[in-house]
Amino acid sequence: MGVDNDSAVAVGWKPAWNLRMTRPESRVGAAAPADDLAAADDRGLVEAFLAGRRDAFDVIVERHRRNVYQLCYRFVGNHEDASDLAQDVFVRAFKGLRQFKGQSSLGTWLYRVGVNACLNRLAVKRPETEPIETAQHVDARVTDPLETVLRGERAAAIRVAIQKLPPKQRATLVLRVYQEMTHEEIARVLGSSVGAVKANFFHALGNLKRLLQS
Amino acid sequence: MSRHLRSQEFIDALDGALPTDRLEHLDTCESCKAELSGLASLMTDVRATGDVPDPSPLFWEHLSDRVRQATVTEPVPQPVAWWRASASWRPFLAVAACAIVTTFLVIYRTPPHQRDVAPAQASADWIDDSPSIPDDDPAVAFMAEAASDLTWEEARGVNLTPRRVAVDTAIERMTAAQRAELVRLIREEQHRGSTDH
Repeated sequence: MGVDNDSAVAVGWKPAWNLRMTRPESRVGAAAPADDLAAADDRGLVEAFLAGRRDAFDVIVERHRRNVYQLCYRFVGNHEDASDLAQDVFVRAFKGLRQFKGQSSLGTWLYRVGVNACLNRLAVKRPETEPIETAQHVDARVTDPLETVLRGERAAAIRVAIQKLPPKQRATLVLRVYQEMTHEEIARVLGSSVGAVKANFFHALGNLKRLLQS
Repeated sequence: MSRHLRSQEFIDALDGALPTDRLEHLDTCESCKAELSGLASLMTDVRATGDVPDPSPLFWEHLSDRVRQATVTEPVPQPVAWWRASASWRPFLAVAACAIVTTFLVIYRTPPHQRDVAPAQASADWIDDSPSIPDDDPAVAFMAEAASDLTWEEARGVNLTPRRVAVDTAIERMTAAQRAELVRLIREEQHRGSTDH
């Protein structure tokens, strides 16, 4: 899990891991991170980054980029937007990491940043066309061509319907079903109550059902 | 028959976390059973669409590079200082600052001849209830020296003045005798101010 609280950073609390904390050089190249960073946990990376080590953030990106990208993809449904959003999430994280409270894991915090970035994007950009890269989702294990087509159509219809859900319902559905987060974790990410998360999830499924029937 | 499941209970049921008494209802209610079955089926369908196609293997390093380039001109954020990390202690500090300033204002603005006079009966409780301040406490001596020339305007200039709510709260907590003593001191101060002019 993450840092217990931000004050621990500032009052000179000495971490248990062995990191050299005084190397604030700028690093633009993609050189491999130092071994001490590669071995540090997320908490250690945050501490090192806030102590001036930019390369600690490189390791954070490396560790979480797949999850962040997948989260973004599930929101927007295409690689280009997901790629831009993932970059945006990490830039926001870079600027806001000192606000990381450590009350949840760094991964959960990044999800929160990611969901906010995705919701902002959805607020300003509605999908103009079907954004799903359907061709990449065909289940190759199904051998019957007709069944393949039907499944593909059903899956595409579901993805389109998900894109039409209200943002909070979509966020709840994505985090619950795809990211497999608990209701409590989702509540922390969305900054709402567990009850609200469950209600949102129920309404998301209900709306999805209606959209698919129509 | 008990009431139908509510929205949150359907979600609990999907998670297998429905309380026993509600499970009993679910076992006997065809309507709720059908609704739950439909939700479970839909969730299965949705889950099946969750695969995110893997981008090119080169994409991940490319993403890292893009992030690095986008942040290269950004300064590394400094950790939030402990006195900024949490505002929860600020009301206490404000009250403490008010108490210190008020104490020194009262002490040093009272003429020496009145300080030596035995306090009025009305103020006896106030004085008796007050914690004694040791004369040899270096912290108190330091504060006394620092605040000895402090005027109200100067205190206000460095934001040491009490908030309205803090003053009201302090006055509400006073006993009748303490209030009487406060009134006496204020009148005395007002009287002295008018005679000075």
